[in-house]
Amino acid sequence: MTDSQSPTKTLTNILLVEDNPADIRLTQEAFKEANQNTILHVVRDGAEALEFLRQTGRFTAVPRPDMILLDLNLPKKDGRQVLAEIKKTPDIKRIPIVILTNSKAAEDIRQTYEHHANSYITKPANLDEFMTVIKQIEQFWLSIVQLP
Amino acid sequence: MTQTREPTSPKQASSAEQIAVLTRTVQRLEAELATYKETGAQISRFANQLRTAAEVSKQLSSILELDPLLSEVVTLLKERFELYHVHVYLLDGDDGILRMVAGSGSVGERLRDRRHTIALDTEHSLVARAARDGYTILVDDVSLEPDFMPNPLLPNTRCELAVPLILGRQVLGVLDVQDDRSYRFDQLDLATFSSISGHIATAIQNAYLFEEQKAAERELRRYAERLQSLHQIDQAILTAQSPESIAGKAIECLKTIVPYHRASFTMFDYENSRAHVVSVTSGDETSLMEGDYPLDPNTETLALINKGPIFGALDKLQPILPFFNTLMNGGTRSILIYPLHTHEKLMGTLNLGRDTADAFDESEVTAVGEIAAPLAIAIEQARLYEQVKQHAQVLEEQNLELAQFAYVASHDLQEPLRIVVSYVQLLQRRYGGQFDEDADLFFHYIVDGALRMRDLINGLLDYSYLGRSGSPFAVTNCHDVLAEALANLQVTIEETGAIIHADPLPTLLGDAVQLRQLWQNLISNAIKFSAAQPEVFIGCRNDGQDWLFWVQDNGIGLDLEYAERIFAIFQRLHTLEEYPGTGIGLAICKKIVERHNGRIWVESQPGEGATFYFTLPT
Repeated sequence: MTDSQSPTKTLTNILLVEDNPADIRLTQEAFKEANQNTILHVVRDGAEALEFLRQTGRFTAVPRPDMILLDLNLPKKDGRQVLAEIKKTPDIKRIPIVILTNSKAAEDIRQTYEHHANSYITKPANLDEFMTVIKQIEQFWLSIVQLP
Repeated sequence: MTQTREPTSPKQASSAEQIAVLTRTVQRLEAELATYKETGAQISRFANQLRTAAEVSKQLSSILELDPLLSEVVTLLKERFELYHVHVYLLDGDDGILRMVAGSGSVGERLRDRRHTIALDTEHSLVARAARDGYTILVDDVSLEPDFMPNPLLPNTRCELAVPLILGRQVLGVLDVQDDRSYRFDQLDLATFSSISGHIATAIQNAYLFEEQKAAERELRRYAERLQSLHQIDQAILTAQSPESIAGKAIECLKTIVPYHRASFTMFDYENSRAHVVSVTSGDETSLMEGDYPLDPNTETLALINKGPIFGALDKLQPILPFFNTLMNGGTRSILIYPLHTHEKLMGTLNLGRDTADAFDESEVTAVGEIAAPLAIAIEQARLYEQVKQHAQVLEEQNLELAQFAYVASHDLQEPLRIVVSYVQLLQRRYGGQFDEDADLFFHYIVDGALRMRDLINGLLDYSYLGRSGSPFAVTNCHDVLAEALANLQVTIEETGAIIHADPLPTLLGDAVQLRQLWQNLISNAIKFSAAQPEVFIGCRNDGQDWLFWVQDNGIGLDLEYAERIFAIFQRLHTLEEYPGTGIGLAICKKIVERHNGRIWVESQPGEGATFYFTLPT
């Protein structure tokens, strides 16, 4: 990341909402390969995700993330609910949300866009493809796109 | 009588002589005068009797019903002719019995109520003899007549006149008049009663005809009512859903022709050994009996019911079927249990009950029987329909569950598989080359196996998705659908240099997305299993009810021994090295064609190319 769009910001905060440790680690590895300036915050379920964003509970000292990677199948509150609640909350609804999931189901795709997901990506099975996808997500949402 | 006069002598006769002659003459004249007087009285009596007879006949002609007619006959005759007793017998030709059907006064009523009869062949009976011979029999003094049968109720009978009632040559009965004066009847009376008997016979015949006509009308009305009931039952059968409601409506319709107070019906479920009783009328003991009962197919009760309808007064039936106790306690006095048979199997009974002692009669049982046959068939059909519906529903649920299961399974299987692939690849990436060559080959096999599994699962997902999804059929232009399929295959076509020939295709009702996939799978197969220069011919023909489509290639072909197998899921004829694939493409094709009510098959010979055919309804 060149950080040319926001020179004052040295570190980018990304919130990963994912329950599977293998997936968490894989995403961390992908970000490690992609960019040194990214801090990946991880929460394991939907309820924690909302607490993190509202900076409540044990998340009073966390930063406001620049982007959210959201899995759909989560314990407690599932990804679809989390998405809907975020997009209803004024302070945080502008944070870009990328759905990163196993599901290819047309219904999931349709429904999440209806709830204003910013993009929907099915996790590729191939590692190289996965690495590329993570890299491109970061590049697109944090470098190419102009956000308010 | 002639008038005669004694001739007088021209000579002067003595005065004494003359007086004697005169006296004789006067006497003769007096006698003649008496005769004249008597004749006059006779004539006036005759006229009187004729008038009475005419009057009686006139009165009778206005009465059309038999019972009132005959009671009027006996009453009128007794009054007008001042008789001791009058009664009428009617002949029942079939039985050869004369039945006393009307009698004057209270004695007559008593005799009639006793159902007094005389057999036609009774030797010593005046009435029987009159009927047998067709002649009037007069007994002037009964004390002198050996055939006279004294009746203790009529002690004063002295003379009796039995006049046959004849119409044409047929004896209808006998008019029997009795008086307490012997020698009461003379020739004039005989003539009068003979004349009256003719009128009575005519009136009786008219009454018979009237009765017949009324009976015919009643029969016609009953027939119409039955037809109406049958029609209503038909209607009920058409509109009713369950066996219960069909039977319920049919029994309700039945009430107009066979009145009852309570009704229910029983269905035998031999499979589960249950008898299911459903009440039609409510709020009585039959509704108390409503419910499920254990059914033992070997009981005597069932055997008894199987033989035919059971009907009659309950107190008489109760000993053979003790369970009727419940009904008796509830107030039912007579019952009719009609067996319902289908295919000679007792499938249930129709049960009617009356609170009154008048039992159901044969004609009512017949009426119920007319309804029982179609009702049994209807109930059986409804039962079968319900069973089929239930089976279909279970099947549908199972299918849905299976599709759901396949979908969820394949969906959830993807995730661990992706993790496996990803981490093996990460291992390979980070540590590749740090082990020996074997290790790198093993890594390759793991990844290859896992990726293949991913393809299979994806295939399964697609296949199961076909069962879950599917748009309603719409007018679909097959030409456009084929164009889309070819566009999706553009890369493959270009890479292999395949030549595609396609006939114009029709427009029909179908699911465009699925039909596109069908074409796509068949064409990509044709290209895949082809010679060096793939050439594919796509065509269609209208086969009357169906469109017949085909995709013909110039490829390796196949042995028809495997023609069925290739359409089953995960079935392959070649190794992965020869031809890659999951073995799911043709299974999907089959499922799509079948959803469109079509058929799919292949014709081929090894090395001669293959032609895949499928039909779609026009």
